[in-house]
Amino acid sequence: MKKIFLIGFKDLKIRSRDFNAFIGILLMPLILIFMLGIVFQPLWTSKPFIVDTAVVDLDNDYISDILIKDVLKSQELSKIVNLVFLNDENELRESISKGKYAAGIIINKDFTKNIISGKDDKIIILADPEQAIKASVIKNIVDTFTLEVLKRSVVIDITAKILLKESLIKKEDINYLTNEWSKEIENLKSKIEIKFLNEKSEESRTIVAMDYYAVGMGVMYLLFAANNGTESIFEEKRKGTYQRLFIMPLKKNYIFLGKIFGVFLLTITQFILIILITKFAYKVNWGNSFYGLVVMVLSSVLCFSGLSIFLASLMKSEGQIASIGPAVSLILGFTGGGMFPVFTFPPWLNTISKFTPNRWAIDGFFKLMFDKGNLIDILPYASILFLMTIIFYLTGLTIFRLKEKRND
Amino acid sequence: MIRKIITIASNLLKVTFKDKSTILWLFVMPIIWTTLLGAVSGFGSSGSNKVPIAIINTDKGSYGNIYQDIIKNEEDLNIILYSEEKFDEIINMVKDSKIAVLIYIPENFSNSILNDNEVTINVYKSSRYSSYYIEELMKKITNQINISSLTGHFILKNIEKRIILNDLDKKRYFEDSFYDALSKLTSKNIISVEYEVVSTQKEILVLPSGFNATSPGFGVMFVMIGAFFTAVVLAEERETNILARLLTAPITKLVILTGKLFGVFCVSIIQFLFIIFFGQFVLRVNWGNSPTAVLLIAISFTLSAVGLGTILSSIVKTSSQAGAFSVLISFTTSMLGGAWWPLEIMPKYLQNIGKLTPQYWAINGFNKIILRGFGINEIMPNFTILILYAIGSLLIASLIFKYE
Repeated sequence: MKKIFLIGFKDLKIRSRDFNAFIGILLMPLILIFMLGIVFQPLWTSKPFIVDTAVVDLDNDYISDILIKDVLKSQELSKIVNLVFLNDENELRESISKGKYAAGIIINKDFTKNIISGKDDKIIILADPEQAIKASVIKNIVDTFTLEVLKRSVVIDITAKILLKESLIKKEDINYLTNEWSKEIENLKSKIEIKFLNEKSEESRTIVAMDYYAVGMGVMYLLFAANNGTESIFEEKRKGTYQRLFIMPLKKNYIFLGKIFGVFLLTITQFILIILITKFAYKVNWGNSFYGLVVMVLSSVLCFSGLSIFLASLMKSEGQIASIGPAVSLILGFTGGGMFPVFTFPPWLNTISKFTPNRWAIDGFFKLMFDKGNLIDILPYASILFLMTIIFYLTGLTIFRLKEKRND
Repeated sequence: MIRKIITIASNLLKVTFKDKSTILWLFVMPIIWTTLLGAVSGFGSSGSNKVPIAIINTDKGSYGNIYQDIIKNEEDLNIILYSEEKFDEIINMVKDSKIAVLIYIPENFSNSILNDNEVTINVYKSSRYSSYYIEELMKKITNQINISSLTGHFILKNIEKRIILNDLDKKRYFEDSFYDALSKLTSKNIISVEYEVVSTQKEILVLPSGFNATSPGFGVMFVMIGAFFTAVVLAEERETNILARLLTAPITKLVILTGKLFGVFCVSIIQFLFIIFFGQFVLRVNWGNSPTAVLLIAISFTLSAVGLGTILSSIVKTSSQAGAFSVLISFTTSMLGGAWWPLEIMPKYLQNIGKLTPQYWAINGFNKIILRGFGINEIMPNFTILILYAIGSLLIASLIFKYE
């Protein structure tokens, strides 16, 4: 037993001196976590963008004034709308086609007069195709504004129509009544309120992009790390150092188990380093349950080491692992929800996702991090990972044994 | 000399296309990656998939149904109706993000509208679901019902100032004006907001989401990865002394290097064209109306990527070092250059850093062709910058390249 540990620790020592392994399995995930975290954090927390918007106001009248001064330049919206005024529609179109502004607003000539006199009119929103997300923010603002303008016009139009139809007012009174009604409508208060309630478990906290990607990328890179370890088995076989170990007073199986233990050690060391570095450098919150975290780390590392052994059993050389391994890791990382949250998946992908170890590992860590889960809460996730571990190791080792027999 | 260059290049092509692992990364991975991520990513739109929304309508009158029907008409939402008894179960689904929001219409909804009383609609949001789009939509629909109700009561008040109404008439006047107002508010006349994406190709306009974003974006990234394998190939040949042995042949160093780089360039261009054709014909991505412009960007980007790969091969000591750096550099610069997501979602300082990468100029060039409908003239700045990148990097590479 001691010899198995010795082989494992020796392998870890060799790999820890490997500069390429340092880049591939430690630096790379840390950079990815950092980049994904800072890019997606504003989007996830609905932190507003700055939307460069240009306005061509050909109306210059009462309603366009309200839109510009009271809405777009309001204290609340001036934080997100960076407003510029242009005189000409063509100039606006050209600037947007060059990507200078995310959105443009064109208010037609006589817009106010048309609306007051009941004629149809429109506000045109121009969007830069490369900044469509920002332009849609402006569209929503203008949509809400037009509904407010419509309120006055709709109420007056329909009231006048019905009262005229029932001969309760005369046609010549409409102008006078419109002014009177306008004042009344301004004071009308909405009776239907819409209340948004954030629904989360009592203990849960809001998801943070940096935390999400620390788990997503951390779990994805477990297979990268494990593959790095299994590559060494093939490398040593090719170089003959593995065969030289057979002269030792040690069973062949023990040498192989030592190598597998080395894969486990490398993977767990890499994962612990990622957890520690992200905790202290990126301020990632890994939850409050120490034992829960230990069980999740162990079950995930065992599972991905097993998966790596299973993959290795299907390969012929370290070159194949180096090439196919990252492809498998990336696909599992994505389908397991490490890059995009699974609730954005179509149902077919969500179903596939449940067959990947990444999904169960990520969900387990999320339970600890976002729902303040404890050891008991993560047991279902850890159990599935352990079950997968058994399947991967059994299948992998059986294939290895069959290959050995064939070679003997 | 040209014959020797072509011989070296064709030899590299033969070796490359015989290697299954290379085929995996050059052709299989781009297809899987573009398709999988394209199926999920929907930046800017409400998503390529419908947002799951639950409604519990406990209203005893007809106005709850009207409210519910307006929501059901929204194409981007996947509405599921539930009964009151399922409330706890649905709340748990919202907590688990299985449902984006639960809209709860109270039992006194119609009664409150008819009697002009205050009423609240509760919308239970999942804390993990970014639901800005749904919030705005819900506010708009609620406002439409609100204004319709205000219209009904305003009319009743004005009629009652003039004549006395019985209950039946009151109901009739209210309902007529409510529906009249609602149809005006939900139709597109009076004041409409016309949304126009500025592009010269309005007929087949696409936005940078789904496959339209992943096909050019990841195309650029995988070509970069492919071209960066130049570094691995050259470092490997130096490690195994193949390059040194080639020097004993009656050919100059320049011919060897040019032949190798021309070979990698051919492999990368074949890869790029494969990705473009796959996007165009399988994923139905519109690659614009100017194939020449697309080709110019593809060629200039590939050249710059091959040049940068060669610089890398001169800096690293071993092929495995080259492999590790290749993936690291091509992934991170592709992210910064806008291959993974639209640049507009990135902080301004990262966008500026992104402009230093060749990927940015390639993707920006493709966007000009695909999204804005531009042609050769408009992509010339992108082409020029990429060619300058290529010339600069190939010059530096030829100066610092080590053969032994």
